[in-house]
Amino acid sequence: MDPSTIQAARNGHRDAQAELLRQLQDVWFRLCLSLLGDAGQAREATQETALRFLRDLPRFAGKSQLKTWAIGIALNVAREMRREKHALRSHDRSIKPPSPPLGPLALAELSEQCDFLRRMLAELPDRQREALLLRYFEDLSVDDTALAMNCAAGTVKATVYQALRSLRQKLVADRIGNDVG
Amino acid sequence: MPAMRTLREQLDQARQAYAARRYPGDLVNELLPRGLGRSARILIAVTAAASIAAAAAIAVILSNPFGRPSSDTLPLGQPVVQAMDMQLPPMPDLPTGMSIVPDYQAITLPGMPSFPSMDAGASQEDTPTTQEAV
Repeated sequence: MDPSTIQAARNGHRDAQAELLRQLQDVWFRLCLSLLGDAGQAREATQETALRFLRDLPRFAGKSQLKTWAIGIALNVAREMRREKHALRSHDRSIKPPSPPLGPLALAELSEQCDFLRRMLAELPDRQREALLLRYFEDLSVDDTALAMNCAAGTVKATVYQALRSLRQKLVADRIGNDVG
Repeated sequence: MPAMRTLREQLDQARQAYAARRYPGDLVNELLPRGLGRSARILIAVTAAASIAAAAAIAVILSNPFGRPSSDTLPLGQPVVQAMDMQLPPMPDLPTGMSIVPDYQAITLPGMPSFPSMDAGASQEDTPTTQEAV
């Protein structure tokens, strides 16, 4: 991202802010969709992320890349929405039968594409999924992933390792299951 | 290591699908307010300048309607301060050579009126009335 554009956006220039939003909206959306599993919620999270991004942009210190900083905002928003969703689900569990972990749109998408890995990703713990998405899907470095996740670089390495091992085990188990079946 | 190779292939496929996802909309139109066009900005500037000029003209007219104020005209917005003569007129002199007490005058009461006597009326009864005379 162009430093002059970033500076102009920090000073409140609308065109520069629009340019940054256009560059980041897809990054935010696909990350939120992968973390929340629902297109509607992902869109809502993307909008909330953009609002916080514009609000906090004048305070961006430049200690990391703007994309890393922006992804960190999206992560926080997705975590908050996930917590709210879990709280609502635990509240509703006493009244209604349990709902599936993914939204109907995400389930339909998964069933259409029969994407094994994406189903496995959805089953990973939240932190492992975040680390894997940032590290291998957004191509962030270990340090940038740590900045976005607000944790140490060593934690990122360990979390990614656990995620890959878990995926590999699931893959092997699935193949064995298919061979037996 | 076939599982590892398969996992890598799956990761690559998933990454391609992940990168193909697009936000279903336009954040700029959804969140950023539209700026005004150049013609609209010029129109607003002209209107504002005209309004300011009109307000200034009205202020000048109201503050100085007929040129310099004369001595007869009172300035607007100032209280009327008029000097008032508070001195009382001098006390009038008392008249001299006049007696406050009037001179003595003897008062005499008129005599009691006398009522006509009843006897005198009885002597006039012989006189015929006018009707009787006729």
